[in-house]
Amino acid sequence: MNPERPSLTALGRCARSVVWTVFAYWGVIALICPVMTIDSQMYNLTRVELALRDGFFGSDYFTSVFHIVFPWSFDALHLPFILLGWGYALPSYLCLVGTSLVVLTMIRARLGPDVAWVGVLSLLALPCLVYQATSTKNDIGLLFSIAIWVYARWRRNSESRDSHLIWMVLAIGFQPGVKTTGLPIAAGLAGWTLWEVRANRRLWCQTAAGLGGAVLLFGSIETCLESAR
Amino acid sequence: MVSGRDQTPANSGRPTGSLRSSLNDRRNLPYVIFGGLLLLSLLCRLFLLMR
Repeated sequence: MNPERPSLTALGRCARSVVWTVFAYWGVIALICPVMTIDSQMYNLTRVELALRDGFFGSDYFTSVFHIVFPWSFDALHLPFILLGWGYALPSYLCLVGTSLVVLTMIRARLGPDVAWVGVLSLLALPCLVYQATSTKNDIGLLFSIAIWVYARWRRNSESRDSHLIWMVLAIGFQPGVKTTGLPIAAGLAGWTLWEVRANRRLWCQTAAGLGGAVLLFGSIETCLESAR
Repeated sequence: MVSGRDQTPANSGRPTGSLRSSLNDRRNLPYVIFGGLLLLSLLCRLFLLMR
């Protein structure tokens, strides 16, 4: 036990037990249940299946504009689960787990473990969030990447280590690839990140280059090219 | 630079710098999940684009 860390009270222990139970329940659901969301059937999963059959560029199987115009970095990672035939919602579920870990760590450091566990439990009480985490919709991927940016920034400031900038940059690079609405968010966070490192010219240039590389790698540039054709 | 033992209050006494110690640090779990999703996304997109 860490003597500096306050221990959980009965409220915290109770909240922690419920959180573990609820996570186990939704984890099983995400693992074995097919996703029934119409967006998943229309394009989240379908576009991956169609690209698998006929390639991504100029596929004759694409019958909806949604198969082409939306960024697909988050949709594409469902490929192994489509091939397996189960666990379609696992990436979204992992996004909820990751977001909850960020919330737990940050609140625990600031307000203590009891508040942290109750905070995570409060997140699990949001039907809209759990719905996202048990489907293939990409909003939760965007939420998780924003949470990673916030978490990396918090750790960079609290630990005075610039290595966390890498995760801030990667999170920004992923956002335009997850969802179209991630583009203005990524632009804002990129400006914020560059503003924070403006004092160090070398670090500023490295961050700017990293942002460009991250957007090229994870920003779903190919859907922009295909849409323009 | 992160090597040896980082003595900042948030990480005092904890060995850092190697991939193994980074993975063992529970506070890095969100990074591990996010990095895994990024890598999976990149590999799947490359696979689909090369078809």
